[in-house]
Amino acid sequence: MYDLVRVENLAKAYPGFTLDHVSLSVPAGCVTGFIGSNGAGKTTTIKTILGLIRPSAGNVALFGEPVCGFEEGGELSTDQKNVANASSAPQIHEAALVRAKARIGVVFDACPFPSESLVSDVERIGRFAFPTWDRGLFEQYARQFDLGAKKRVKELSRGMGMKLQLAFALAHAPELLILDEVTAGLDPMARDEVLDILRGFMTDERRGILLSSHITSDLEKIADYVVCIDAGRVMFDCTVDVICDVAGVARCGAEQARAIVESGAFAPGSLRVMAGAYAHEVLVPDRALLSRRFPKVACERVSIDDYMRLMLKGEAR
Amino acid sequence: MKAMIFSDLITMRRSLIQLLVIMAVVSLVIALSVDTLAATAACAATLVPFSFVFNASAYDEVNNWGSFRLAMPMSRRDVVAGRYASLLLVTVLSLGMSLAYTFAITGVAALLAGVMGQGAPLESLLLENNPPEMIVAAGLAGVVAVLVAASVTLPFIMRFDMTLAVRVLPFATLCGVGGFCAAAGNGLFDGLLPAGALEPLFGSGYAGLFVVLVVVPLALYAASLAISLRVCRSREL
Repeated sequence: MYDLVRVENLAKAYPGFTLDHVSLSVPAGCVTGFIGSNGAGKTTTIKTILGLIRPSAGNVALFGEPVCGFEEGGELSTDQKNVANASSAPQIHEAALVRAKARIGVVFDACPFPSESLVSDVERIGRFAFPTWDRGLFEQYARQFDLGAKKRVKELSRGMGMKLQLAFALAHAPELLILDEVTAGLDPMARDEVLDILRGFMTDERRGILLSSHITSDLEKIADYVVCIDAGRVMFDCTVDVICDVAGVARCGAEQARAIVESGAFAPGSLRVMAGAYAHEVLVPDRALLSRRFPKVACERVSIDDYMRLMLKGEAR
Repeated sequence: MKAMIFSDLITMRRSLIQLLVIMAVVSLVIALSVDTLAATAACAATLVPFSFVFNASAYDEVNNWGSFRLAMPMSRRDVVAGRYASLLLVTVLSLGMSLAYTFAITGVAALLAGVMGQGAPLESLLLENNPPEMIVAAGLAGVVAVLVAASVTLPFIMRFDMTLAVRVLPFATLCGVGGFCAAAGNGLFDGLLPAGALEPLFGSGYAGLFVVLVVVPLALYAASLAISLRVCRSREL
């Protein structure tokens, strides 16, 4: 499948934080959810994909074209490869990156437009920035989101600011959306409205979304893949179906938890066990298998939230 | 680069209108206070572009606008060159408006003199007391001051952001000026130019003035742009 975004072994070191060889992809026709706790490295990864940060190692390709680093069989010229070899850090290929950014809609976690600007000013900026800008489409979204043309950015609430960003991101008919906490600050109805728009966007199978979010219930509704990052490292990378349809969480006593671990039914290291005040939680990769082997142990469907919590905080067994 | 220029102008539109009003009032007050239009032309040409540098740079930091703008289809080169181009455009427009405004004041003064005769208010602001060459030279001098100041400040702003740049700049300026004075005092520049080397420039009408007021500042501005492009290449946003 064609990858709209392909990130390989991305690394970046700051004092007190290291992005440690992060890899992820957004295949065409898919929504990749990007989750993790605050400060885990989600925004750093997104900024590196967009060329705002230069990584210390790794490759980024957008729409199949390398935009950072270089790879065997890539489309880089000899000159570009020489430049890349001359420095230990991978080079950002500006021309390819600019071409790619024209096909991407971006939403940051806070409304970034200058506070004194009007909604109509934001539209004008988009008109000059994007070759495929559709003024009518922007105005349609602005009406849908109740964003008056004469409203100032500083007068918008957080939720309205996110809607303005979303209208801006969608109005040039992008093929890829990179959304950093797009539903944060929205009320449940507005969140559903945004998710509906994103579903509408995904009706074209050539498109894709990289969706960073703390609200994992949104991801359950829309994502195909989930990549979880913690302290700069990818903790798991799998389909939503693997989490929500296949995996499960058993809530049982200590004896039963020990029995599950020692049963040999699951590969070593594939279980996560967390002792609680009243019960033990055991995350199993296959709840049907657990039910067959331990019919008396209640095993429930696991949410992405619980999956992440148990994967990050549970003891690997 | 075009997108960046328009982005700057759209973002700054409201501020520019406010600055133009302030410019008109301040310049008029100066004209009435000092009874000459030289200072008016210089002030009017300087105020808007000088404020533009700092306002536009400050906006970049608010709400991470500078980062988000780079997520649009613009390269770092586009952003840096676009900022220099938009400032140059604002400076040229500002010079034009300042000259038009200053000559308009002389027009009003002439009108009052025509109606009220000798002793009319604003008599000192008549064109005969303020030769056009002086007004133009004063306006150009204001523009030179803006371009030189921008040439020094913009690389710092591009490298450090506005907040940090305003902390670094005074120190850097002090070091630069102090170093230059110390070097000059120690005779480091003695004999750098042969005696009379600049005479041909100033001996041929306005050629010298043109070089000093147009070519030198623009060359400095271009050099500053080259430095900004270099320092911005590795900057993280």
